[in-house]
Amino acid sequence: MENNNQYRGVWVFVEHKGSQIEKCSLELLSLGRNLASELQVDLSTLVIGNLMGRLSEELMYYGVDVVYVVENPVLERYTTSPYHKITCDLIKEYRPEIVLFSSTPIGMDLAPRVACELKTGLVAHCVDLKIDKGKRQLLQICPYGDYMATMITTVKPQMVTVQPGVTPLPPRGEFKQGQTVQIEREIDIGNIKIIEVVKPEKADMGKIEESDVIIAIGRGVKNMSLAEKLAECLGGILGATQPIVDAGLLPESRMIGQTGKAVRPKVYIACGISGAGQHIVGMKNSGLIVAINTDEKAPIFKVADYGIIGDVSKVIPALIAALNR
Amino acid sequence: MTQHSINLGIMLNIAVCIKEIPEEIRVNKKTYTLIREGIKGVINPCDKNAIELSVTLKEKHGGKVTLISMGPQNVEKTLIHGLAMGADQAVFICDKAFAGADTLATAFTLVTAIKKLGHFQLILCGKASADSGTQHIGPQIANFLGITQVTYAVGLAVENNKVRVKRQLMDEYETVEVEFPVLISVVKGMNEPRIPSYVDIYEASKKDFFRWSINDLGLKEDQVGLTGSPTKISKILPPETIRQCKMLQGTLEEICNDLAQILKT
Amino acid sequence: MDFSYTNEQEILKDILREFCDKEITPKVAEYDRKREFDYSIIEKLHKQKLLGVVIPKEYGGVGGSLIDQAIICEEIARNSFTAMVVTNFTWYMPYEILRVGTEENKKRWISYLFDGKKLGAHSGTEADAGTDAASVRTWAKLEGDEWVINGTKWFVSNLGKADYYFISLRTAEDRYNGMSTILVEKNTPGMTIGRRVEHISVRGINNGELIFENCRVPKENLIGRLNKGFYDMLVLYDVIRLFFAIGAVGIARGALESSIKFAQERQQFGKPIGDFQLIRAMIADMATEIDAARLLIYRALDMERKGLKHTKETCMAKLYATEMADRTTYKAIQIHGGYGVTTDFPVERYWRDARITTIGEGTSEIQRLIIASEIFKSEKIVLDSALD
Repeated sequence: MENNNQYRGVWVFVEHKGSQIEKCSLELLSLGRNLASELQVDLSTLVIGNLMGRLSEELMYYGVDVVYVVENPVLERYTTSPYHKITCDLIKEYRPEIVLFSSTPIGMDLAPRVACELKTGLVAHCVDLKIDKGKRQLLQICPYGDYMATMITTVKPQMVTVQPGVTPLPPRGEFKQGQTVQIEREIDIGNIKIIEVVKPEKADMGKIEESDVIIAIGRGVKNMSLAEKLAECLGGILGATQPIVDAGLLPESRMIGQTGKAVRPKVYIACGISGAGQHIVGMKNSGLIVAINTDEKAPIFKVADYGIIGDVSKVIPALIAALNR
Repeated sequence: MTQHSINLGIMLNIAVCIKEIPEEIRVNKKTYTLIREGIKGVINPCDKNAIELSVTLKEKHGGKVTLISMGPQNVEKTLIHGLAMGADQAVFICDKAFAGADTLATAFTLVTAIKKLGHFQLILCGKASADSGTQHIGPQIANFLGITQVTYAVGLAVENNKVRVKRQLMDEYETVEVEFPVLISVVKGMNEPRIPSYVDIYEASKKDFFRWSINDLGLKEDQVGLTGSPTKISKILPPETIRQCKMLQGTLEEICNDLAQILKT
Repeated sequence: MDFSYTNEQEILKDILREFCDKEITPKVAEYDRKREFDYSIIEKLHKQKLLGVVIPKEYGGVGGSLIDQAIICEEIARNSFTAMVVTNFTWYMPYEILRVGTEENKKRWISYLFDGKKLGAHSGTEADAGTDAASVRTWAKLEGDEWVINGTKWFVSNLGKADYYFISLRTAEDRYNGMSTILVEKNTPGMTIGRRVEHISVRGINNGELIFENCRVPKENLIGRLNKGFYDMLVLYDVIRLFFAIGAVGIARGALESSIKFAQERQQFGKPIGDFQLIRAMIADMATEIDAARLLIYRALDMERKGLKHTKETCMAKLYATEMADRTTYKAIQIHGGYGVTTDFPVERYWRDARITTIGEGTSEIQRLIIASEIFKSEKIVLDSALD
């Protein structure tokens, strides 16, 4: 905290499976690239793991200038303690002014602890980032009830977690040779031991962000099977608002919104959803948005391309019939 | 109890950090600040799961559950509710100096109270608060205390002086084993929080209840509250309308035919 | 004087809401549609020690305050007036014995009846005896060690579901000094369940005809003083009426809460209808009247706690609270517009349920007459002067 001006550069913490960069991290690269260009500094990434192959080279297709790599067999799978130690050490050493994480289970486990160790702030679930050039200040935009708040961090580094799914994926651009810095560390894995990792039997868990068509249901839906039929008909998948998930009608992995997932399918059909701000954050970037609701003034219509005023239980069967024609 | 003599056969000393949240999140349309007045406070939903877990563990292994909460004057009720669910004592941290704290300043204040209380094998909290939803407090408390953290817990068992925790991640479940002391943040729905009985409520009022101010914690004003917080709100704006919605008109059949056409293209 | 709830009472309200949201609210519409109450609620409320908290510890209760009991009743009625009426019948009669029973009655019956399972029913009304409660013609005559009961009762709540019935009947010819109360347990030979009646209010409650033909019960089943049942009933009404009234407050609050939510969400002419002054005025009146009614009830309960006579205060509270519920639920439907009369919203049920509150446990008219006679301090029996 001694002198904020000593901090330079934008960092992205990259999540990956082996040599494959996770979508959420690509989104961060897109945000990070813009911030770095505006500040006229390097975009750097931190990658931690094992057997990452050509990952650092791949990152350079996305405009990354420097890749810091920490590779070790014990880092194969994320655990808090070693990842936290490495991240803090490197940030202390290289002093970036901005560090971006994703709001994922890994990002949300790691970032707050890193921020705490560095005695800096952290703004959660950002949906957009801007630069106040005059003050060289990062403007961190995140949902605040039904509203949007702009937050600032008064000390450096300025750290955020970014809601996955709200930033467009960057195109894989031209390869631009950057610098790869291999870092050797003594690794202490701490007192945590992974016993097992299980994929739930429901193989569709987590796939909602990859589906092209989402039929999202809210409190106005009384009959789940109707929505299921429509999803089947359109080759889509069911999503839901928080009240539906809270009622146990769909698993948490299907929840769309600030506390759930952000999605951007080609087609999003909102059935019986009034459109609370926290839900809209998670779906407003979808391709085509259709809203069906009995209340013509429901806020959902403000973010929809097409609206139908009517009872879901009557509209869906008619729509299925029309689709089959 | 000293830092080194953790004997599990005897007692599990558990701290649960809880937060009272407004039942509804409403923003003043003119000032864009959160409206607190006239809105009822309730226990943050997943914090209730943390209380339930602590009480279940106490019932099984023996021990003591301490609730800790920071907030404005009216959160007393929330703590007594937690005591009625079966916790043994409550610490209520309240001082004007704490107002406007971000997660870092909040975690720091809570940790100061935790240290004052002594040593805990287990510190529990909810995954996130339903009002701000940051998920920061758990990992930050763990960092200030220098202990291990396990987030996203959906299941937990204590065996042979170790804790086995099932974590719910994006598309998989991970089971880990950790040693005490450990901080665990729990996911809503990991258990069904008990509803206290009428008798429990009145018994709860007889339990130990401590009110601590900034002086009781030995802190200075610049360490806490708004001044001790590195993040600040710069401005709040209503969400923008982003699309022009075309309302489909006609009979139900006509509307659905139109929509089917749009969806097919 | 303290007008604020204690922390414990605030928590009590919270846990009741949690309980009701889980156990009652999802089934409320079904009670009415199927005309059947879900009696499993009783056991669940008992587990939470929320049934009849006013019953003292020595009789198996928890010795809670009257205000706490009122809070419980209001919260349950806010979700379902039907549920409040039914579940109150687990402790009304034990409380009645506590208030007007003999020492033998208390020893013999209170713990036995108040076991967290048994449901009671009260039967005063007959085809020709309603507001004029002293005109009942069902008779009980002592033969040896047994009472022999003959006659037909009407509008018996919990009909066929109750484990025991408290029957107001005649044990002597004298109009006011010839009435008594006798307890009849279910399945007693000679007592048969008659026709069930359909009604618009509290549709989930079985209500109808109870027929006695040489029904024999032991002598110890006489509750209170022989031939003084009418006066016992007056004492008891002072309390039961208050809990009926708080139920009306619960209904009104449900209607108000639904209206506030609707007024904030429903948009007309480009803004929420809650922004229009005519709607705001209705909401303001509803909220004010609800609080006024509750305060009248709390005052009477406070007098009961202090052992003071509170006939006038109770009648005022009952009169005002129930007529208030009628007005408030009417306004709630008005605010909801066309939706208000549909079964998609709860306000039509609140309105139907409110309707019985101005009639049951003494009509508004009788409340007014009693209040007036208390004001004029008539020397005569309240009802006689009222009816003169």
